Amino acid sequence: MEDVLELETRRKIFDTISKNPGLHLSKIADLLNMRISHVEYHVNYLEKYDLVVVEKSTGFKRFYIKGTIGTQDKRYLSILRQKTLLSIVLFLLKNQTVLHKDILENVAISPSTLSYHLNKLVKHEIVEVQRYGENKGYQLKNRQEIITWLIQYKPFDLYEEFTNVWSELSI
Amino acid sequence: MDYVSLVNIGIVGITTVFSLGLLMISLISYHKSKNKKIFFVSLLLLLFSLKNLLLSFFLFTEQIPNNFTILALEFFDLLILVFLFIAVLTK
Repeated sequence: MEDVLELETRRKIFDTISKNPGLHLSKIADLLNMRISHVEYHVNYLEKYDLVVVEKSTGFKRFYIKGTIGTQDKRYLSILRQKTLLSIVLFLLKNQTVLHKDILENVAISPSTLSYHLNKLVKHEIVEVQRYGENKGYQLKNRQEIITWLIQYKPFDLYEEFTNVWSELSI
Repeated sequence: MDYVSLVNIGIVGITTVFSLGLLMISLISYHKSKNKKIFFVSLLLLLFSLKNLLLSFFLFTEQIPNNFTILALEFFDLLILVFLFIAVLTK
């Protein structure tokens, strides 16, 4: 293992994945200020030597240090690393059972996008649906587990958000 | 001390604390990202904090600002705007 991680760049990538499990390629490249192709080369190398595992979910290839993250945590990571999905889950955490229109009033997305994301959350068994006549109520399937997960992985990073705000401010 | 001076000290105090908080966030962000844009944002926040500390000092010591202090404060403003401009231009 020491030989594989001898190269500083590779070690940085390994450390980044270790600190932020479930990141995708462009995010790792962004964090380390490197080209995607460069990161991809090293990640493939780490995967070849069984240090990193790659999982394709929700349209992204996500990277984990081998043997460190359980299946359930990986499922949460693949979903809750996405800002919109995270904001829906955070809203559901603050409220017990909510209707589609309640979420819509609090999360700035279109009704069809919200339906798409809610279906995704239901499919990944993070949210469950309850029927009230013609209406559907949405609630978190395992509230305590999600709270524990959020505390452990902290998907929202203040410093990263600060960097993003300024990075987007350009001519 | 009159009412306006007290309000003035309060506002300058809050601005100073707030700018120091933002400076801390920007420094940690820079440490994590090594982004050049954030470096200039940190610089401008540093100058903004220094300017407010200076202003607080003048208010607490009840020193009447003379032409030199006004010039110094204006110079800080100019530098803050220059760094903001550079931060926006930096890719």
